[in-house]
Amino acid sequence: MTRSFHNLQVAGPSGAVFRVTDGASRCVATGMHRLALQLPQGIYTVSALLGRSIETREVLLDEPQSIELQSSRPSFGDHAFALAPEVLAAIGPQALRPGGQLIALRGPWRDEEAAADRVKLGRDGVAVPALREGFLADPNGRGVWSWQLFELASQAASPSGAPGVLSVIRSVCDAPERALQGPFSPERASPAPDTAARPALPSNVSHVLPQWGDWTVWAAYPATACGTPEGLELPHAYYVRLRLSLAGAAPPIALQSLHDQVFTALAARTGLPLSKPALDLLLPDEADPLLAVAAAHLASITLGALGRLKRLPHDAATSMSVLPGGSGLPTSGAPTELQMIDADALQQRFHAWLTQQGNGPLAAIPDMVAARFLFGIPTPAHIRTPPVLLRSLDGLIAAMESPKARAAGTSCDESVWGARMQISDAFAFVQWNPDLDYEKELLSSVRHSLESVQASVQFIEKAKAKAEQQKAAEKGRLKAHSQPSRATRSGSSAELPDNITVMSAQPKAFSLDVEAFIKSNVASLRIPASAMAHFGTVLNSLAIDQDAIANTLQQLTGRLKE
Amino acid sequence: MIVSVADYPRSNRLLRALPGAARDSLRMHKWLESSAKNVTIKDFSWPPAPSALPAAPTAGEAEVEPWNRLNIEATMQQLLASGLHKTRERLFFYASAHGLSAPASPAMPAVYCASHWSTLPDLFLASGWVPQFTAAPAYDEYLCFFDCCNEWQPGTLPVFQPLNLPPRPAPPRVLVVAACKPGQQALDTPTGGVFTDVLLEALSGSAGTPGTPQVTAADVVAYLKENVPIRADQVKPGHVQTPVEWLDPNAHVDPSQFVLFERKPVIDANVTALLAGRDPAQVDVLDAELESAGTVQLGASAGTAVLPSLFAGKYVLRSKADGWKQAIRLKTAVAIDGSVVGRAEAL
Repeated sequence: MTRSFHNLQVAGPSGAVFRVTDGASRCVATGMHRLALQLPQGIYTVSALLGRSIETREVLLDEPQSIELQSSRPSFGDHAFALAPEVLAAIGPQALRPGGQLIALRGPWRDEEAAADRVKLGRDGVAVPALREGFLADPNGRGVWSWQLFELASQAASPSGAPGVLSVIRSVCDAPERALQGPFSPERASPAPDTAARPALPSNVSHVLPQWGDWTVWAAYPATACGTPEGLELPHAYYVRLRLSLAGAAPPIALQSLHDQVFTALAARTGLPLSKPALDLLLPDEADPLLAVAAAHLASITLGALGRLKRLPHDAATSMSVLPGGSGLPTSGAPTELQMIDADALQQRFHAWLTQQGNGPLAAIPDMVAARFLFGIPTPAHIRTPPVLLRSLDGLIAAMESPKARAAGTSCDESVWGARMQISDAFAFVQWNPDLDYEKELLSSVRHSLESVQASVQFIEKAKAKAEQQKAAEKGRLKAHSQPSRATRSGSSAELPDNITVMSAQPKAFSLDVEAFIKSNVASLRIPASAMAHFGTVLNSLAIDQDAIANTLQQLTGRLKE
Repeated sequence: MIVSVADYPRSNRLLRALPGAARDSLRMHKWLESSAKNVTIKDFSWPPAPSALPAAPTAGEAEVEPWNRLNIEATMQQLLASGLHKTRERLFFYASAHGLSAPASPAMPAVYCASHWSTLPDLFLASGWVPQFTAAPAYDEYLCFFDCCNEWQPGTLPVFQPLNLPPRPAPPRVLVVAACKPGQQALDTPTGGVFTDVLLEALSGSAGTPGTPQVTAADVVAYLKENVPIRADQVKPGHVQTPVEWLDPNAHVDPSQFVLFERKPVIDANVTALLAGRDPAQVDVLDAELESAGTVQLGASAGTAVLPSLFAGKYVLRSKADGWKQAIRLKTAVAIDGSVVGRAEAL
């Protein structure tokens, strides 16, 4: 029997992400803003992610249906950026000039006294003072918000013209009595005996801010746990939302939620539901370049997941990846959500957009160059500054080594890229973790490794001693049985236990270079730049007797060789 | 292999207790025992269930120590060595504990272990082990589930040293799912994790294509992706939790071809309360494609109405008298003793 088809229209606020599943829970459509579907009759579940809420509607599709879903809970970002017009009015137009600004919003605070804790901006480690700052009442009547205006224009750029690295630092306070919901909320934890009486200390968290020409960066941060109004639930302490606008303008409404979706997906390194409506929003002629490049990043992840971007496009033609078992892309069965995206169209769309932008004012921005690598459009360039968003892609690392990129005249300055690798990662992965924790973890990690080595040495020593005792006893029994006349002789050197010979012939000494080990594993250990800035302090605090460890390792090596 | 941590008494105040995790692991353990034949369970539940504890220690005997990363890794090595000696059938790995996001492997968060080192508990790096296992000819099938948070929380991921293992001649059947995407928290309640609750529904027969006994890995993923976000929002309004799966389409069998088990129909599910006072004899049952699936019948108890024998899934009750319709879900759930029960609820 043939099932009849009916139209299903789904609408919602801009930025709503829709997901439609059938009676078997299989996803049959995803999209943003508006969906127009023709589906066979049946039971469907339509869910929409709107800010912090998921709205769900069951649909019996036995006739044409049209549904509209509304958000019942706006996101923190929506809440914060709704203050943008008031902030612009307070700042005044004369303070906003081309060159790039950061407007940092933080709240809601209980009162102005609690809001004394402001964000700090640093460029290459040097503090950049705020030009203006002030307070605004929370639109919901829950306390106040603080705002600060910073100038991002790099007046003290390096001689090469490369912009400095901007870091935004703020303190967080995890006071037990005002804990946030979450796995690390101490309110439901049993306090450790050694820390029960210790007061909660504020610690700093930071993130890297991309510097992007004349655009105004809007950043929203939650207030500290101990400064927020009673009973108000806020995102976790490391939450941040970034949106861009033209100088003097509030973040564009149509793209607000899209910013959230793109950057959240970027942080998760997962694909956005890149439906046609989403692409239309992302890639208009006046596209926000940061958003578009971020979307290109997401598209490359999506394409990579589909096996379409296993290698760089310009290298993929020469060799196909064949894995043991020989299975390719799944060709049978129900389509997955990823497969529903037309990968060819996706690639062509971003390829065309990047080509179109190739001669524009944005063409030389490192992220644009990197995006062109990813989509197979290498162009002559000398890149001294690492791209902010795209560094973390495996494909980009391959691009640095790409013969075709070199043939096109592109060269990457290793000295610049290598040193700043972890900074870009810190942004791409949204690792806004307390710097203090990294130091502690680094410390404990190294201590753990060293104590493991010492424990291993002790274990081997004991095993060795036991084996030697057994060996000596066995030897004694044999000698007593076969050569009793020699049993009373003093031992000659030829009959000494082997380990004495080994110990007397000390191998060449070597040193344990903890510093080199850590530096060579910065990426694996995910150490952000700010932690590396304190690297010397951390190492000194370890108080390791490196000679003693080296000797221990040396002995261990000798025994293992036996 | 079941890994769960319900209490972190020495986590430096950073990790709260997860009372639901103890219940989750117990339910999972009982359900595996009752539903799978010839299954060997290695249970790393902390604190251990009272029944699993030895008799009270006498003076001089050490108490049971919380397990650490080395304990789990030693077991993983044993499982790996055992499988390499002779390829085994299926490895089922389940974890319910706090987790730390591993950015390169979103579906495999690192799991905080029961014992700690210095400021934080050890981390078991699942994203190191699982890909190694699946690439080697140790098991034919791998089912891995992580009911853990997937956030960038304090802690440094351990460095995993790749193992030198032989490649497998045929692609494995793999299903790896984490409770939430990176940046999200897995919701835990005193009665258990939301993800585990939905997972046990799926594995006990709620997942699957309507009218079909075979349940595939794709069916389970679809069920989790549809129901976990909805359930999480119901339990805690505003909480967004979206499961994420791992699949290498070039190296693993298509999940829609990976048949996990054959389910049984649900018998005599009570729908009396869902009929809104209508005469059961006048109510038809339509399947998910809105085709007839039978009629509501009178139950054994007086005044009760039950569904005909049907596989779990979505159905519609339709009154022949007035055209009234009600969408329902017929589903299975796992009780604390591991038994499977079927019930119908309104959608």
